[in-house]
Amino acid sequence: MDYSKEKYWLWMSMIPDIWYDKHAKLIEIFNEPIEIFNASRNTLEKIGIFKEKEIYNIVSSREKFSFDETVELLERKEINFASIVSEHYPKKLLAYADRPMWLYYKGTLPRDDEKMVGIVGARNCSQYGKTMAEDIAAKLSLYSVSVVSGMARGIDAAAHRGAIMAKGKTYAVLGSGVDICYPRENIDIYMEILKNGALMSEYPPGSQPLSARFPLRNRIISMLSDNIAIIEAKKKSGTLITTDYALKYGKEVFALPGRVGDVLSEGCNELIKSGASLLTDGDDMIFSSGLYMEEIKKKKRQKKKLGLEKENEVVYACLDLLPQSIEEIIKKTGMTSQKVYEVMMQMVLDGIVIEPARNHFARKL
Amino acid sequence: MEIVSVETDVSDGLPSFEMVGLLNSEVKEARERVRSAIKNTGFLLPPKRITVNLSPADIRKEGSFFDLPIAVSILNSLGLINIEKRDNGEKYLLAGELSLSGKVIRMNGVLPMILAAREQGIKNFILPKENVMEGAVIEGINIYGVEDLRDVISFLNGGSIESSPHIDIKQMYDEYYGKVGNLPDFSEIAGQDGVKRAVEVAAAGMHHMLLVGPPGSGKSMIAKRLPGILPKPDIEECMEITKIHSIAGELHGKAVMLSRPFRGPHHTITDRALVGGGNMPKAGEITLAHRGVLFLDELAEFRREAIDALRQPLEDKQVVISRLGGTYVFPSDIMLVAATNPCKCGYYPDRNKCTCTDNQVKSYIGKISGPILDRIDICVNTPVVEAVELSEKRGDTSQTIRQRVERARLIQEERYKGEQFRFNSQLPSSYIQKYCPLGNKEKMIMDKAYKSLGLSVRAYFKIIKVARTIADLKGEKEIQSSHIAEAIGYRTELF
Repeated sequence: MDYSKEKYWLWMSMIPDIWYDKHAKLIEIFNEPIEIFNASRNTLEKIGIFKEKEIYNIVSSREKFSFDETVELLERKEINFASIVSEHYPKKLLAYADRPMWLYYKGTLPRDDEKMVGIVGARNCSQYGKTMAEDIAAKLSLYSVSVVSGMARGIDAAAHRGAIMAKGKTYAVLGSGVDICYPRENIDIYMEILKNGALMSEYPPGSQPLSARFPLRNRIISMLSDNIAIIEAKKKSGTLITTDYALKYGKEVFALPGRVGDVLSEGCNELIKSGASLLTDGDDMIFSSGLYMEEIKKKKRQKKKLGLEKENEVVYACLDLLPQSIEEIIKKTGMTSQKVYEVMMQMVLDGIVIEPARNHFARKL
Repeated sequence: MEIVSVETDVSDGLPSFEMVGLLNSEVKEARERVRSAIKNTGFLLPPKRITVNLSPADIRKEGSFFDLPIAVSILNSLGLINIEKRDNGEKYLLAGELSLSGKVIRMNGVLPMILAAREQGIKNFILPKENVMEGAVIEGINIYGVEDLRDVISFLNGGSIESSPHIDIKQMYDEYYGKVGNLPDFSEIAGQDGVKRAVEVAAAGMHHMLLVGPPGSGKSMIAKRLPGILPKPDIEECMEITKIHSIAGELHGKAVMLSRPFRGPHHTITDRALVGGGNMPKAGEITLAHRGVLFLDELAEFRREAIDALRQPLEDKQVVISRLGGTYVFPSDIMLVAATNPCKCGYYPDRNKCTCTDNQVKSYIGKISGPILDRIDICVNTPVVEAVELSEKRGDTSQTIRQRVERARLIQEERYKGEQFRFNSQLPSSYIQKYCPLGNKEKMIMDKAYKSLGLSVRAYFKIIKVARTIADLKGEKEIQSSHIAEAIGYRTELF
């Protein structure tokens, strides 16, 4: 790709330890990055918002910056760069004051008219949250709605997986450089997203996943999405930062309800109480929020005919999305433990029940 | 074991008290104890040259029980005891430690000592009073329990002590198993039906097992009740267990151990304390649990060396310790029951209580040594019992469960007649084809499980072995698909 027009944007993005708000300030004052590049130390100091260290970073990065090397690095790592002046930069983001000045990305960025939904939630989530996130993401994919999330553990990963499994597009906004897969165990998602979607980040390649970077990437998730779904969140959760951004940008927030008393649903229930839309199914986001103005002829998935034997039916009826221990199931069904074990394992092997933890079983949606 | 004879010579010369005969330090110290004990019993050691010899002189003597024979030997050579007065020609074996006041104190290892001496034709024993019960089950011998040195002197001078009563082990055995409630019982546990079932299967096939569950879910309660559902030990086994406990000094005044032992060492235990060892090798917890249950609570917290040291003994059913002076073999035929929390805080997968990340959960379980998990066939989760359940009806008693287990054991004994192994858990994988043939439907389920659950080859065989036991419990000749399905539920691959 030809970055010659964006040479100084590229430089600017590589100044260490300057955050987006100060980028915006610089552009506001100087208009063009090249002006900043040529500005004297004195001029920078006069602005009055930079600390000694930051000015040093700006000045010293000028000397270190080599355009050719940087472009070579991007090409070698197959990373693309798009600043706000680039034609590739998502138009959607231009409308927001605190938009990222540039995006590094791998894969293909969304089209301007692409419908997108953000799905976010707790990292230490329950099986219920995982199942629902996967299911909602899969449903959205059926309507060609893309799923945006942060590739974190738990809900984020489940949302991506759901979209991937339904062959839908999905985008991950990372809190590290796009060449770093964090957390490592999500490498499968990382690889799959490249094929059908994009990994993006406002941080240059090699940036470590620092905790300060994560709340900021949530704002990009909110900007990209038309609606946001909060799957599971504790009362004081980082997920709620995404909600705050979504409200600020005027996006509709959906929250998945949970049982009263479930710690992981307290945040969501609280959101619903204060006006968030109730989310029980992917359809909710599609039809009630104007994502599609008219109901498309429902591409309803075939309801699985399980055709179970009678006793299997009895056991299956006792299950729900929250994993239950085998003892609870034995008690509910009144069958002998042998029988329950036998039936459970057969259903696990048939793929209609999952065993997320030892001797704990839940329905598969 | 060899009988040691003690001889004493008292002669003129510089006053001294010497002991010879390859003595360990605790035997050498007998000199001071004996001197004081004799003095405090009311006799005076004359200022002469006293030499005590323990023969045969080429065997190392250890233990504190030589005090009594040494004292008696000295008193005899001083003319204070006239042994000839005591039943002509009868031999007496003496053993016991002396206190400074002349009291005879209890010792360890009485039972094997008596058995060895009996083989060499000795029928009369003078032993500390506290130890007489240990010998009471042996037929054809007389045991005289003594409290202090004075008792011994008067007895040997022709006085009389009542020989300790003989206990009929058979009668005691029948009595013990005739009544219920002498062991903690399974019917005391409310709920937990699935766990109880898994425990029954484990007991029936002698499968080692792992209990996973949150704190307070009754893991130790269940483990403690396991010896009660294992088949009754026969009298021979009881004697074997008793001997081991006698040597270790763990009989606590009991004549004989009639139930299978239960040992639950703390997780800070060292490898030597667990499997045995030391300069003069001593039996470890695994040997004390021989023919019974070794319970390792908080398996993930045990030292790695301790757990790894268990591997060989579990495989060979014996601990072999080699020293310069010889090789020591301790039996270790045990059923291993281990317990662990599912994660650091203990509440996974209850997300309302557990705050561990998925990685923390994995790394906690990952602390458990892989090789030991390989030797465990059955893994089951113990959920917390809710208050409602506590008042509900209780399940089968231990006795009922034991009868079912015994029946399954009998089937296994019959099947493995003439083989090197006795239980399904010991079945080598090369014999699985022979003893656990699968039908088409069963094979299909196994294949499906192998693929969809990502089982290892080892896990595959373990499932078949457990399924064999489940079939035996039902009295079925062939392994059926339902048996396999249940066995899959007990698989030990945690993630």
